[in-house]
Amino acid sequence: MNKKSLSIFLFTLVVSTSLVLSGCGTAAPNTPNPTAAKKDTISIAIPSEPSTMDVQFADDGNMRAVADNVTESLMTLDGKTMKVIPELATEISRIDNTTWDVKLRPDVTFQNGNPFTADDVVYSIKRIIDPNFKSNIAGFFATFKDAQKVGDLEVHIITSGPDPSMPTRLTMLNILNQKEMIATPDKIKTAISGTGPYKIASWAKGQSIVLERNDNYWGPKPSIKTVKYRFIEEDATRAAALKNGEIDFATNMLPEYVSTLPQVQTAEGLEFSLIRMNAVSGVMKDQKIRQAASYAINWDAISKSLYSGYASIAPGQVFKPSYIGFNKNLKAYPFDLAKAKQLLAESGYKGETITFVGEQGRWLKDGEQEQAIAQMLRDAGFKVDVKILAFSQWLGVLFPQDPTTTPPDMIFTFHSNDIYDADRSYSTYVLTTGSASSYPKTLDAQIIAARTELDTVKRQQMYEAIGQTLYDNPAWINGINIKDIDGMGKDVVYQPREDMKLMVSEMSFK
Amino acid sequence: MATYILKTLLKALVVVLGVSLLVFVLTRSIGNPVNIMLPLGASMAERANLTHQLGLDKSVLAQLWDFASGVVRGNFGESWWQQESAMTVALRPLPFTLELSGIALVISLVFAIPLGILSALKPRSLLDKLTSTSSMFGICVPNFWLGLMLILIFSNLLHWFPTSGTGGWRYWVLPSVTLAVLPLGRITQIVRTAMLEQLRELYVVTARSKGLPEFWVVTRHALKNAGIQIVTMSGWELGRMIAGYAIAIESVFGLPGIGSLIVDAIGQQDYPLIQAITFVIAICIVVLNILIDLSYPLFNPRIKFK
Amino acid sequence: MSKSIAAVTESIDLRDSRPRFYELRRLAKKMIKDRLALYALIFLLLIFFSAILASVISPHDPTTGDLWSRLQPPSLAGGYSGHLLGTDQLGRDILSRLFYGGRVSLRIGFITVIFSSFVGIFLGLLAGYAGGKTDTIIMGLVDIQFAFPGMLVALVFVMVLGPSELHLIYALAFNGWMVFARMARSLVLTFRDGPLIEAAKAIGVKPLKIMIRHILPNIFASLMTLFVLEVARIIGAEAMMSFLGYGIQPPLSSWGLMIGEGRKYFPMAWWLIVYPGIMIAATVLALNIFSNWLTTAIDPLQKGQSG
Repeated sequence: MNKKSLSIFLFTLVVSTSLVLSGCGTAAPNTPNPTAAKKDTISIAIPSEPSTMDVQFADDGNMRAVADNVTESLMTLDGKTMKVIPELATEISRIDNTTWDVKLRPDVTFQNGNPFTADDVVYSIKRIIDPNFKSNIAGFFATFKDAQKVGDLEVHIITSGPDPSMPTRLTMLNILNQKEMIATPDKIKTAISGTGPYKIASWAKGQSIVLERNDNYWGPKPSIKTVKYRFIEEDATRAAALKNGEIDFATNMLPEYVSTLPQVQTAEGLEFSLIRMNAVSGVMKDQKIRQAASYAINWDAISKSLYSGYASIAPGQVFKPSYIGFNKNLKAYPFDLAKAKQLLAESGYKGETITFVGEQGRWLKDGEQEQAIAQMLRDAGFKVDVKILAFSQWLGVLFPQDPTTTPPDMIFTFHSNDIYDADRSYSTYVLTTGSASSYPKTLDAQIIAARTELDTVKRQQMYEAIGQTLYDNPAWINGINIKDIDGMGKDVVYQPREDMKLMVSEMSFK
Repeated sequence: MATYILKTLLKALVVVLGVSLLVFVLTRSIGNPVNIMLPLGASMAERANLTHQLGLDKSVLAQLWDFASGVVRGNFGESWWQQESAMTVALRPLPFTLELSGIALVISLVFAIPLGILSALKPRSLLDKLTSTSSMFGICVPNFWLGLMLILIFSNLLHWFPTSGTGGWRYWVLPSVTLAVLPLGRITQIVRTAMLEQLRELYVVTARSKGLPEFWVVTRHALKNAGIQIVTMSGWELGRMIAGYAIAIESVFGLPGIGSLIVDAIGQQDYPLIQAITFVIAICIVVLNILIDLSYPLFNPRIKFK
Repeated sequence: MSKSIAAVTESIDLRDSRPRFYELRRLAKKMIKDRLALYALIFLLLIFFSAILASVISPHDPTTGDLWSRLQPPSLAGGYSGHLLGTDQLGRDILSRLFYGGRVSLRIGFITVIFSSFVGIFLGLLAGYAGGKTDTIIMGLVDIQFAFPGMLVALVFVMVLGPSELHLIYALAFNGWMVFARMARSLVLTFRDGPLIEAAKAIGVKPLKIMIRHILPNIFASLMTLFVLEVARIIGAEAMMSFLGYGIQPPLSSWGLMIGEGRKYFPMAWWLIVYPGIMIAATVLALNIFSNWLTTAIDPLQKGQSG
């Protein structure tokens, strides 16, 4: 052998390896599931893997996308009207100011075979309010004091004070099987047993979760037999997987993808953007300046250009008509640049810098929206300094540990009201003891009174009054309600829910 | 020999401890994970409560003591985000990253060694120039960008490969090729330089004049002597892949490796998990370095460990 | 053997006594001969000046986006004529953002390496010159930190301190000093016992002065090549961190951040990603080529080696 042949040998080695590796690519593209199996198996891609299956512990949307099909609550929301309707409870009534009577549904079994009884309800309630359990969503049930078994299918729920929203709160409380939880307390982290239409068949961590239809379900039998969840974080990648036929359903699609996807369905969604203003100190303390800011934003332009129209403008409040406390007389501030400039001049604004705090990446186009808003404020004459923080830092500014820290002049956030009740928003952002409030004491008394008012008509009126005051003396700039866009294959039939829950039992194939 | 082993182990220990300590002090003295763990409407009292339960209101030294006493028993605490033992969560995606990096290394070696040898045999030839140029490109192109470009061409346009996730062999092609490009460039250069050195040595002339087959001369002798440098560089690149490049590639291709886990853990500010992952990766690198050192006698029996 | 030693000492002494401009002329001539390096240098100068003059040459304001012209393709591919390379998701001009992004990326690259080189060279000089325990301690530190998972540590740094340009510089500089220390030390060792230094010592020049006035100028050129290489590496590292979201934050732009922000849209707007990536690759490539050339140009001994 000499140099020449050696070269030829090595060269051939290199070339053949390249051929082998590249030649493989000419085979058929990745084929989707064969048609026969497709009829009853659906493949869904969600943004990321759930951190746990313990629905009582975590506040994790990805977990909910899976677990909402497996577990149920005493009450739930009707998919279309968003009214509170019975689920595992059949009747609910108030006995006195702090006691509620709940009658339970008979002949319901958990996926593990155990019957559903009052014991499970009492256990579930006690667990979630137990301070040692450290549930991340315990705040929703702050008013729950105790639960008592009255009969095999009847319980009493005791609240710490009058709580008109109690039934709505029950929609967030999932019922667990006491027997299984006591026997195998850690099982819930990966394989929760519920009463719902699907049970967890497997969870291959890092890869997929598979659900199988629960044939012993007490309600109507869902048409899809098997559900496979995949986790694809990047929006573009998720859309591409749908386009390629790798999956049947992709959640949280961007408006830009709509024209490229086989089928798209939307729902109004729960999330409203808002820019909270510091009404207590600093430049924004002046009411006129806050009003000027409200007039300065062209929400229509933002909706049309950033969201391709898949966003509606908040009607002068961050509530939807179905919410308790919605004021139908309020309309959004019109976009009026001249008026904004005029108000700004009248207020005596001398060009002081306004700090605008935001985050990026948590919600759809939050960063883009923030930058657009800042620009519009500048066009109106504000001097804006945008500070985009990492999510955890931004949280620390919005919800400061130390209540004496000075709030920023403006801070952007998305707000979703999980209990469809005005109290949630006002108690958090307006009440001076709220965790994210930068508003003076003026409305405190009214908010607290409305919170505990048991007469629904009176309560509604009180909230409308608060809403009107906030309209004139804003605590925040009302933003837009972005639509929830789901992409799906041409043969999928599904109307996304207003509460953004992903219910496979409502899905079917053509 | 014994002192050498002791010294190596001591150094390894210091490295692992050093990194862990650094991460610990950084995370505990600044940063506030409580806000992330609670839903957006949580009250002040709820935050104070959780802060206390996580032990974050203690002084950094006290927290360090708690942590250290746990580690000694092999307990890194429970991941705040996933509610499982932090070490379990950290170890789970490790095999994937190791596999991906391993495949990438194999791909780069398969190309780098022949190309490097050929270039060394024919310096300044067209092949040599091409190899130098392409290895340069390999080093300079940002790997995450390359990944995106490959997805654009091969997944979106041509539909040859899937865009993300795991599954059959198709899912491995784009990520491992992307990951392999940089090591390929560097290793090719090292092979070339090392081979050039060896081929100039006296023993090569001797071997050739003895009439030994060229193939033997190159592989049995020259390559073997160059082996130390090549192995060192390969090991170094493997370590850099596991501890660095894989993070970007796993992010681009949506892969469930330890790289994506650390990015998520940092996003969640899950300190126990970050601590555990740092520890695991530090151990991997240290073990890798030790293995490289131990392999030297294979290439040069004259190397003794003092 | 003795011949080459004589040649080395001779050339080193000669080099000390040659006038400076002769050296530069020699370098310039060499560069014109080696075209690739010349092109690389020209490219780098272009990048450098476009970064400095970004505010002058940018056709648009990089932070003001026109919401109505989002995601426009480059002019050549049928977009608005006002945007040569297209617009991004907020309607901002890509070309302008490339200029300003280059400014940020270069700035971070240089400042980071200036920090790490100062610290590294100082420690390396100290270790090499002082020897003994100082040497062992410093080199031990170098060894240990070399084994740190650098990217991981940088991410944690930024996570904890909060993503900002300054913190990014700290994070990247933290793991960059070792390579300078090592090189500085080994270079010092080759000069420490030479006749020039011995003479200086004999006269009674203080050690610090010896380090700075006598040793440093001789090793400066070699350190320069390392400096250039490190800048290239840091530019790549900053790009990766900004891409992952832990580097430069909007509304500033850096090439890596442009790629990260553009990911959502790139299947339909490839220009968001292609151009910044090309800029990073080209800049890093030019720096590498220049550094390689510098290595061979400054050291007469290496001139003979192939490739």
